[in-house]
Amino acid sequence: MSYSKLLLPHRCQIIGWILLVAAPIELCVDLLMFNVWRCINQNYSHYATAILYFLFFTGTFLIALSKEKEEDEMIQEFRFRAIAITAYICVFLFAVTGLIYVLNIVVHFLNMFIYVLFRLMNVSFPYFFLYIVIFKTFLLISRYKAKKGN
Amino acid sequence: MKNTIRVERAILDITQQDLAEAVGVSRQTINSIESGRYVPSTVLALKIARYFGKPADSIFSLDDGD
Repeated sequence: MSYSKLLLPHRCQIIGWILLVAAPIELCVDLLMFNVWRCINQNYSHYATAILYFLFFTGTFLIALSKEKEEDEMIQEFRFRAIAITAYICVFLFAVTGLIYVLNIVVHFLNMFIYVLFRLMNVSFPYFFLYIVIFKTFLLISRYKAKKGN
Repeated sequence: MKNTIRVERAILDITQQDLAEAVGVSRQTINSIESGRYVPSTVLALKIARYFGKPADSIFSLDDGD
């Protein structure tokens, strides 16, 4: 059975990369223009955060769920492996950060870090991002080995 | 799983790219199969065997560890 029917067309991945690249640019513009925009609109920071979330979420979602240029069964196996590794990492991080957060056993600085990580685990785009990093690493290794093999 | 794809390719004098296009996968996939890093599905193994005009078990065989 081919699972590629469940994936979006390859051009969606290009849109995803554009959105993902736009996100840090938007963040920089936010930081630079924060005082200017805040004078105009008090709710500016809420809008900026919403836009930033939208860019990150949509970007990572489109990249993660779009076909590669040449989507075949080996690429699909890379996808399964990447999903499995992402799941293990996420469960491990969630368990560790949750445990430390609940037990409150570390110093204040580390607590803040863990708290941020714990909160971050509750939104979906870090999972997509982690999956993309692992999946693309598999692809790069495969291409490198194919190049080296010739 | 071992295979003789490299030998079969050499007999027909075709590149990995030619074979990849004929069976509908990427060149990286053919390279990975040849070097034993990836075990193809039954469908792909049969497509490759049909391309070479030989039975699948004359191209693919079980390894000691399988």
